[in-house]
Order: sequence, then structure tokens, then C-alpha cells
Amino acid sequence: MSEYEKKVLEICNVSKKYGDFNALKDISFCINQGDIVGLLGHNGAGKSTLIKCVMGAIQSYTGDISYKGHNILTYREPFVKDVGILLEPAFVEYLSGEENLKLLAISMEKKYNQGKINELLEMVSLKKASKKKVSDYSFGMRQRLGLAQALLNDPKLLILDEPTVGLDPVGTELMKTTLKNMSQKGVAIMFSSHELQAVEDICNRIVVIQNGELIYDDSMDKLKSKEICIVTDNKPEDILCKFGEDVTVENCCVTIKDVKIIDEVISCIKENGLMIMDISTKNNMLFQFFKGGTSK
Amino acid sequence: MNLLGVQLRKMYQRKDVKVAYLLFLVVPLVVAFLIKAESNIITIGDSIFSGIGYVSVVLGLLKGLFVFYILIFLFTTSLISGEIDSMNDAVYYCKVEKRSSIITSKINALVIMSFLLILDICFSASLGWILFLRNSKFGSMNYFSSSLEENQFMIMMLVFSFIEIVVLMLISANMSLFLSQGKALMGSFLIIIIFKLIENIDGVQKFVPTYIGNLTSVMEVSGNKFWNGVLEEGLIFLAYIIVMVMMLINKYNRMDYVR
Repeated sequence: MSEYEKKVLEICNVSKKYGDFNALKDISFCINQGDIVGLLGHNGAGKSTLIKCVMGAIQSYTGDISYKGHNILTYREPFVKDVGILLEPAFVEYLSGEENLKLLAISMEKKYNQGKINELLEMVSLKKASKKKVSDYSFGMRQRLGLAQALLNDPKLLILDEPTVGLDPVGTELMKTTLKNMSQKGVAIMFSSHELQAVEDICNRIVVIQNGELIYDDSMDKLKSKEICIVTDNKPEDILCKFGEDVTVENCCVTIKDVKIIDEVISCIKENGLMIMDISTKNNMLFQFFKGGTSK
Repeated sequence: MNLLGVQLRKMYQRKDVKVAYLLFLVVPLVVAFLIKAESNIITIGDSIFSGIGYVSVVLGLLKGLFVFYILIFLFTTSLISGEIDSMNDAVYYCKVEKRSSIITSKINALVIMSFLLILDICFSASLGWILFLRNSKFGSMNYFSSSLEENQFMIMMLVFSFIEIVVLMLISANMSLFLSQGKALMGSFLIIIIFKLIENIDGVQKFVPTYIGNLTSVMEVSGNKFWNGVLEEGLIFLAYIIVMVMMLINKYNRMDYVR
């Protein structure tokens, strides 16, 4: 597989200004085939602006966004064919969910596939409500219909802006399962969310944007790597210095960053006559990231 | 073509579009009935209408009461501005290659709808004339007038009324790209009021779409003078259409779908 084929979406030095306000500052990253990239950031960090740039709704940005090596604004054919996007779910309110899907399908190709529409409605659990007007849909139902819209053209790149907002636990689970299945089929996925558990459960990569700047872009595994916390009966003075930065001590709490040395640290503590009161794992890195704004 | 079908489907599912067609079907019949009944609600003096004459009177009435304009502005702003506001256009943009195909499909759908609305009025007014006015003290025996010039004027007035509606719709469509739906609707209505005010100013009036649409300047002339006047006003309309369409497509292609 060539580099271009593997690299599905490439965002290169993208900046966007609203007047004097820098909504995006020099954002660069890429999404590969089968990736599920979680786009994180506070409200107003620039996630939706970035997604709007990628979908082409915003064109007045600087930098370059390319799909499989082609600029998405100048050479749209492969992009339009392959991309599925869910932004704010937007529909023709006075039409039913099914009719909304049909209209979108017709706009792509005259002979739409009713079987595909039925399959999607079934998949997002809207088959029973398919004849109801969208104006009567709850927010969660609209979100699921938006997902069906995004999947209508069997996308190879799926971009979703806060897809889990307004979903009940069953809906969230359905969304997660769908995304995982799509990823296994080789679909590249990028989605923004404030639902950290969902991000942690399904993403293999995390991109964090803060005040329009990309501050983190790395694998989920690195972020998820657990820390071990050992509580002793007394403060273990200088006995753990030999482990360097892998071990930090704060009062009676010893934090081990590298799980491989846990046996050695425990032996060391015991050899020095200290008692181990508690051992636990810390796995709140994602939340800390979201909260704190760690630098790259 | 696919997108035009989508826009037409969307539009004809709207309740207010259906109501507009029903309104334009009922009003000419009711007016004809009221004339025949000699009610005090509508008085026409000693006028005697031919069929085509009654059609143009009804169309003039609906334009004069701003009903036609308001409805067209409502449909235009909701189809263009409303769908940009709701990000619905952005959803479609992700599925089509050319941005301009979205806006041209909308404009074509609106032109088709305006044409069918005028046909609706023509049909209903003709029916009203046949049912209530024909061969009465208010109506002649024949659908067309005995004067060829009068017939020519009436038919051209219908054609120009349609083009006037298209021009006004394009002005409203341009406004819809810059303003949210409510503001675009108000702005379009304001434009009509301004047009109505300046159509009384000599020298300016022949460039005002609402003035041209009534063919007022060629009302009293005939023969070559009539056709020259029609051609001149037709060219002004054409210039309006070309400029408006170019502005619309150019702006739509470059704009951000962000309000």
C-alpha cells in the first residue's frame, strides 16, 4: 500500500481567523486508513471549525487539506464520493427521516437504493420512526439519523462532530459499536467528543486542540499507559532515588510510571522495612489532558 | 438534474407552498363571483372584461397587494437563507462535486414554482371569468379582446410579470446569502417598498423592476413603438438577471457556511 493510500486525510498548516480572533493556528496532522482519531478540546477550542474546514463548509482558511493526496477544494470528486460527515444534524424538518435520507441519496445518484436506506434506518434503530416527521424527533434520534446520513455513501473517511451528544447509554453504545465496525473495515474516522469514556474506548489516536492550537497528537495507548500508586506506612525517604524519573514520591504515596519496574520498587520498599498499605492504578490521563492543557 | 428534483420535492412538500397554490386558485374565483354579485366589496364601474383582461387584472391585484411578492420572498429566503442557517446546505455540499450546482438547482426550482404559480392564476382567473363574468354585464363574449394590440399588451404583461417575479426572487436570493432568514425576508420586503417609492420618479422608473413588470411605459403606444419599448425593457430585465445570477453563484461558491 502506497503512502498516499494509507494516508487518508492530511491537514497541513491550517489556520483560520475570524477578524482578529485566531480560531485555528497552524494545525497539522494526518489520519490513516483504519484510524479512529479522537479530536478533543474545550468548547470553543476550534474542533468544529476544523471539521467545517475539512468538509469544505469553511473555505477561507490558509493551509492545505488533502484527501488521498488531492486538495479537497480543487479536486472534489474522490472526496465527495468517499467522505461521510456528521456536523450539527441538519434536516428538512417537515419531511420524515426516511424522506430526508432519500433526498440526500437522490442528490448523489438518481437511482437510490431503498434497501440501503432501510438497512441504515435499521442500524441506527430508527426503522419504526422512519415515517415520522423529523421535527417530531428527539435530539438523540436526530443524532442517529445524522449518522445514517453520514454512512449513506459507504464512506472511507468518516468525520463526526460530537456524535454522542444527546444519546442515551444504548445510543452511545450503538454509536461506539458502529464506529468500531467501520474502523475494522478500514474506514478512517475522526470524531470530536466531550464523552471521554467513549473516546478512550474506541480511539487509537488522540488529537488535542486548545485555543486553536494543536497541543497533542499521539497514540491512545501512550496516553492510557497506567501509573501505579503505592501507599506506604511511612515516607520512603531517599531509598527510591535510584529509579530516577520513573518513580516519584509525595508523602507516603509512591507513583510508578513504568509498570515494568513495579516488582523492583516493591522489593526495595519491603527491604527498607516499610509496609505497603495500598496498591492502586491511576488511569485519569485523558481527563487531565482535557482539564489541564498539557504541552506537547 | 438530481438536485433540481430534490429541491422541487422539498418545496412541494411544504404546507405554505400548497397554501399559496390554493390561495391563487381561490382568489380569482372569489373576485369574479363578487363582481358578478355586484357586492360593494369590489366595484369596477362600467368595465367589461375579456378573459385575458380579467387574468391581467387579477395578477395586478395580487401584485398590488404585495401577496405575490411576500410569498416569493418567503419561499426564496427559507430555501436559501434558511438552509444555510440550519447547515442543511453543508450536508448536501459534502455529497456533490460543485457548490454552484446547489444554488442553481434552488434558483431553477424557484423559477419553476413562480411559473406554475402564474399558470395557477391564469387558469383560475380564466375559470372564474367563464363561470361568472362571460356574457354578463361585466364580461365580453370572447376570451380575447377584439383589439390585437390589447391582446398583445395583456400577453406581454403576463410574461413581464413572470420575469419581474424572477428578478425580485434573484434579489431576495442574493440577500439570503448575506443575511439570516428573518433579516433577508425583511430586507427583501424593504426593497419592494423602495422600488414602489422610486417607480414614480421620472428617469429612474424605467430601471425599476416593479415598474417594468407592469409594462406601464408602453401601455399607451402601439405597433413598432410598442415592440421597441418591450424589447428595451426586456433587455433591462435581462441585464438584471445576468448580474444577479453571476453575483449569486460567485458569492455562493466562495462563501463560508457560517453565520
